Amino acid sequence: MSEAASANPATSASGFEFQTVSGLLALFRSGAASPVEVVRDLSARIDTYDGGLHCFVTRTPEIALARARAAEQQWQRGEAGALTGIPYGLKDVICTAGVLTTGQSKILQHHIPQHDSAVEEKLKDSGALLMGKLTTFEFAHGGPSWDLPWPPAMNPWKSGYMPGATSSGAGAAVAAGFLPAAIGTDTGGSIRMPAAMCGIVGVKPTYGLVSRRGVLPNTFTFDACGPMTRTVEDAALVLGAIAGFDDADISSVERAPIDFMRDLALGVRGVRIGWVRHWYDGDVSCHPDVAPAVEQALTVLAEAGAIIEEIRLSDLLVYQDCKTTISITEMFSAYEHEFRTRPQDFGLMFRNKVLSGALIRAEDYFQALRQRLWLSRELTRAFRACDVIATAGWMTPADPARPDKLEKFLRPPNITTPFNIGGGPAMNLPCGFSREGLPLSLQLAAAHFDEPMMFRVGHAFQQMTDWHTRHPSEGMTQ
Amino acid sequence: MNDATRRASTGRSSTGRSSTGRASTARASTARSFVEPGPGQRTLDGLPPSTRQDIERMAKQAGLSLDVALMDELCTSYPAFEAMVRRLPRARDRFDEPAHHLVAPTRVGALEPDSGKD
Repeated sequence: MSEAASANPATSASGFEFQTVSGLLALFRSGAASPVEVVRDLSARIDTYDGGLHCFVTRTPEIALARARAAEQQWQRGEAGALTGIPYGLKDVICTAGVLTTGQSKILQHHIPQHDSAVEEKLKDSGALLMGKLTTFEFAHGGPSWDLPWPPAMNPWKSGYMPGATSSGAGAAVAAGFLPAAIGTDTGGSIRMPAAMCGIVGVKPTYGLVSRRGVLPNTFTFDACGPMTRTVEDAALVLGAIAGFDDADISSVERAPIDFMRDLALGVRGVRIGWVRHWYDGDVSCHPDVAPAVEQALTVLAEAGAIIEEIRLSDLLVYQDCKTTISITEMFSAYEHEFRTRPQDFGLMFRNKVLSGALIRAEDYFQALRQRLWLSRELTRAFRACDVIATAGWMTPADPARPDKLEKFLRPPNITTPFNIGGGPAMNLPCGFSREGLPLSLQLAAAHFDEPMMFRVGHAFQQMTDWHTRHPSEGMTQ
Repeated sequence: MNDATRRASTGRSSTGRSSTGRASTARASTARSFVEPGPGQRTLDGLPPSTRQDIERMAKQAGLSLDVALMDELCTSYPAFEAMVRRLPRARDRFDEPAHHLVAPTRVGALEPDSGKD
């Protein structure tokens, strides 16, 4: 495996670009930095590098600066909230009042919502600073596409490589040092896959923990909003700001607030980790550097006292068939009006992957829902025996961009999908580099609403390794 | 360190082959399984693939009005999805329920969300 360079020519004198959320909060608290300084610094970096990376569909520097000035005063008055002064971006399927929200689609090319999504409301209330709307695949599905009004995002780790789907701009922006945090959405792995390919942390929270209100739907029964950051600690901080019951989201779960930072310092001694190897080393063919990286990560955890046991769950294809049948049926229903009236205005990739949803019979959809409950019970049984399940974050490092090649209608099964079927939390975090110098990732998952356990293991891993401190340079071209 | 992780740390599987040596079948017996063999192994795999005429008829029944180019796209992409759907298990117990749930909506008035339409 490559020892990716940590020396990075694409760094500024101020050093804000790779500051973590917790690091920035400490700087603001001590008065060593101000939110206005940070916004200006990051904006200059985006000006310099985003021409090649295409992370942003829409930038909102005026909003960020106005909020930064208010944040500065809040810190001075001792009235700062959980994320006061922290810059962030939103995947462009998350509605923002008065700010273009396109879903990366010609269908909504000029769509300016009247209302904020619940996530944006919460981030605004927490004092965070919206830097812009981030590139995705059309309606967070299909792609990468070169026939949409905006180009796809690119991977900062290597020129000409993709950052993964579908929170692609979010993954690339956080890895590139444009933002310390972003919010993506995950229906089958769309937060975790770009996190894996960009060498950052991506969290799919428990379904129902974060409101979906105001998020353009992919699949109603799978969609989850979650944080993308450079550290597990930051992910816990950001999730704390966006989680909570919302009576306008039918899937939102009303329960006592969870302190996601609660168990970060507990370490992993005695934690039972179920290791699913056959998903990446058997069911599908994976890159030869994936298995050694994941197994080395498990060795680190075992040496810190975790109890590792290899376990077996249903094959990935079984999960994938169930998930995709449900997804394309629900997606077609969400965009049925446009498919009937202007199908040519969807990109080719989205059309190819969703139009078939029109032909799925009701009984097929319900057989998939019956299978979903069957598979969910399998995961529940596993989580009664394990505190955390660990497997690969993805089966390969980032793919090269191929504008001339149509993505297959159905990819090989996703290693992230089982935890969308189950609905519990799952997280990817960096665990090495491939021989090509591209990030590799470890996936951790926990039982419903047991994010604190998942964060506990992930944070312990990051305390013992330095993969998350490496930053890209090769793909950072001006 | 337990056995599984000791194998991981040495890059060797229980079969003695490299961890990238694709010996999953042999290894499966060493892993604790949570997979329950149960109902639903029968599928529709054996049905013949839909013809172009079948797909055109189903699209029409679904209310789609596609020009020739778009119909060509659908006829190219649909077979992969059809095969996927037909792999779903079918022979379930009658009481084997779907993953549905209904909670009483807390909010019963109009939500006035963005329609998502221009």
